[in-house]
Amino acid sequence: MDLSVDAPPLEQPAETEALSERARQQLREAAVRPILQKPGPISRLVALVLGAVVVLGLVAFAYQVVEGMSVDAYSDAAFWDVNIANFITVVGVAYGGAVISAVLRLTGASWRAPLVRIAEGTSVICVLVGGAAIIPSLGRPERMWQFFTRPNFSSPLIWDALAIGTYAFASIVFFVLPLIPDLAVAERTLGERAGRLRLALWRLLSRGWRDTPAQRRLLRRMTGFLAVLIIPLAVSVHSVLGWAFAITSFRPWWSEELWAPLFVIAALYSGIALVIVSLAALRRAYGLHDYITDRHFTRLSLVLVPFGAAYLYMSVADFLPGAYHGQPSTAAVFRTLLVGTYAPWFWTVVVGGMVVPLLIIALPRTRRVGWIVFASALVLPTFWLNRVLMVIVPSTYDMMNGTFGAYAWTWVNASITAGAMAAVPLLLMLLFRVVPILSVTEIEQLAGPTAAEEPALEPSLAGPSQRPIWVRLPQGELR
Amino acid sequence: MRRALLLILVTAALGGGSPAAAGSGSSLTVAPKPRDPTRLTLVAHLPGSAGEPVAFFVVSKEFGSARKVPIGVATAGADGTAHIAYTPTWSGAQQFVVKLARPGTGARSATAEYRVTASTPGPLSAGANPPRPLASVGHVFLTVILTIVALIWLSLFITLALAFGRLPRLAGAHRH
Amino acid sequence: MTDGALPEAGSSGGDLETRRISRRRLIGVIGVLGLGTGFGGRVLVNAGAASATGRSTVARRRAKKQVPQWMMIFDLRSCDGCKVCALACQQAHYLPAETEWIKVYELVGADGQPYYLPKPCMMCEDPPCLAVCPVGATFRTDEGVVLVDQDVCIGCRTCMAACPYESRYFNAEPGPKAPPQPFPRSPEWPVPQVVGTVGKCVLCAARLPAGQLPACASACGMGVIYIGDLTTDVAVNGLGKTVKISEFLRENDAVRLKEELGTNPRVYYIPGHGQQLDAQG
Repeated sequence: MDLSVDAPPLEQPAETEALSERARQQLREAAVRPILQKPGPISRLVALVLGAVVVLGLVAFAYQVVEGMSVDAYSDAAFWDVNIANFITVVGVAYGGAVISAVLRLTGASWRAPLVRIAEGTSVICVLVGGAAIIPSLGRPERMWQFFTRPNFSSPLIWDALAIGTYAFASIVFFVLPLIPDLAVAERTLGERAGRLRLALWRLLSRGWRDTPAQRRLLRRMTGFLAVLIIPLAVSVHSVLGWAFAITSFRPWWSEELWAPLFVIAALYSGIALVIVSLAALRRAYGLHDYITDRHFTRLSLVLVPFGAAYLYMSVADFLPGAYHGQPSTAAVFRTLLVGTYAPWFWTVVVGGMVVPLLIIALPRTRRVGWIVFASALVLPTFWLNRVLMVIVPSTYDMMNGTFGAYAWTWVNASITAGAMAAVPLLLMLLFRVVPILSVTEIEQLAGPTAAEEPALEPSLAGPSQRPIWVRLPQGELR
Repeated sequence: MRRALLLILVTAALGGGSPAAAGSGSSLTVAPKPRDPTRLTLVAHLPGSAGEPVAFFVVSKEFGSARKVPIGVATAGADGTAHIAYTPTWSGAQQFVVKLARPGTGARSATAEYRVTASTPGPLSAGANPPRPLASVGHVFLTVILTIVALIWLSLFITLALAFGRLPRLAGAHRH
Repeated sequence: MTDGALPEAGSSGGDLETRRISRRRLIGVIGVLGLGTGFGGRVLVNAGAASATGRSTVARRRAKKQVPQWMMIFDLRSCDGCKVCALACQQAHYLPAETEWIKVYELVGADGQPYYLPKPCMMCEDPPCLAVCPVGATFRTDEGVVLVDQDVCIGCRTCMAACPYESRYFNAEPGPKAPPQPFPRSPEWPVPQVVGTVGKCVLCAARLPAGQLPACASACGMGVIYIGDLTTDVAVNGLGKTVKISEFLRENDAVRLKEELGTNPRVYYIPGHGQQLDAQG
């Protein structure tokens, strides 16, 4: 047994009898529960409502394409609209998956195992929906193909497109790779009950998977490579987004060096919040409490804290110099945010999105699942509001005479926003009716023989064979 | 350049440009400076203009009708001769006009044609900005970044190819 | 990558097929393909840069024949804020009522007194709008006029974010119906505007080669607006006054707006507050 601190490998050797046969069976059954289970009345209602909202969003978009952007009450005094804020928000929350699957993998946090499928699925869905969310902002969306035929590489938007496209591709591959063994397992578990279409898809993706050591080795290498790759890609996406504001213009608040890191941290913060909320919802819907335990939420909330604290600090660093030196243009925008027209919204963001969630998690009394989910649920809409303020307020500022225009909300842009936001949970629900909700293979790999004990917070100095797994086993199991 | 020199010699030989007097004895000559053919000296002789300000113009047809563009005012000497220096900004055949600045004392004026060779056939400008700090590495940086992006896409495609091509074929001895 | 505990791939023995690509060959293939893509990308970049950005070496090479370099001067000593320039421009280009390609601001001077500032497109020599357009729809001609190709523009309005002079306008809806025009439709005379694209003052670039003044300059009854050519150093206004640009600017202490941003605009302002209006009567 290797007791040296610097030696422990990050992964278990796969051939382990770590979970008993019964535990394995239960795990596999839980993983396909969303597929097997008939959706209950609440699930149906939720899906119906979300579906209706998405359809409304699409209808509003079609109306805008046909009638022109005048239906949005567009005015040159507020030239950038909420669709850009939606785009930044939804692409931003895709970061949660990257953190949980990739970063926690590289740091050897084995407690991530039951979470990765949901986290990475959320990530893929968000980056695709987010990428689509920008389209209603364009005056001539049908000409987007020109991004490929005549790109201007000095434009940050081209780099936006490149970064998001590359990150989306990498996310999809990163999602699909661990699915290969899992789909083989699911196929064996369900057999014909999975339905013809599902089986056909599963067989297509996982054909030839025999769980041989050579296959496991190759898959592990590829997944490891992607985990390393996806982190700088994720950072690049939001950095480029931040630079699209910072370098595009001389506008107050936008043209600040801090914006790229600010965007990245905000994305990390809101991404983890989304993962927490998704986990809570899916856990409740499918009874996955044995696998997604309260400890997971506590751990995730502690991952949330440094990002939230960093963002709060960076917000102060963002505003303090401009508010101090009082250059008229910067002062005008900061004044309207801090004490002026937009002050109620701005302080809602700061207090509701940063201070309160951090307090909730910081106090041990409120560091419980219900409160943690509530805190995360606070973060999501407030950070959307934050992006709305960031996009819209400086674009309403007239750089020539210092006056402010006004952004108009119409049923069109409200519907499109609602549709984009509703698409994420809807697609998430649909996704797990197609693929297993738990990454069975990874959980089994990371299982250890001491699973029944309360796992320590620090990984022990003992060797890999004693690494615990965050799985609550059925009563009476000796393990 | 050689043609301009020839022209200068010819016109110098002919005693300056083609002076066309619009009044008896009025004349305007345009001549380049001795060592710098891109700078001109315009000498006007308007009889009876001693001590009066004399205005020189170049004719521009750029904006529709012919307009006289003021290029300088000089006070005529006792002999009615006034001269200014002028650096033209564009090359080509140009027409110069001189007349008394104060109207009224007879429409004494003269015109002259001259083929100008300007030294810098370029616009006046406030001056270009100093180059940005990393301007020289711009293209290299761009190539590097695009190569990195291309490599990433390549590696992703290779991963997919491995996952769906190679991985199934590694099903060797079934260990379980 | 992360499985240091497992044996090396090459030494596992009988498990693996002999058809497996060796690691070295794979790296070699990737390297060659990568270099190839890099060079290919470089070629594409140069081509794209040359055609799309206007910041390429092609545009910077000095033109073999002299071309006019258009510019404008506003003599604010004569401006009374009547806005007939804005109206004339809207009428000439059949713009909707909310879109004023030349916009007259009423500002307050350093002495607390109001003055009027008509503001067209600055025709910057280093335009921020050109740099940020993702599809290169904004370009700068050899004459120094910054134009928008509305058959390319995707309407993302990033140029509107970038312009520090707020000189660009988005066509959210079609304008008034335009009759057949004296010039063919082109970026120099974008009439009618394409819905869903961005438009702006074009310095009436289609009129200039014909020797006609821009609509605003012709319409200004106070002779505030001069159109000039930096190459010939000549500027004229709508009242027939002709000036030598370099002297006119120098003698009247002309300035440019937001000089500190380094955009190098081609529009100069002679500071004033309409003080010459009484003299003109």
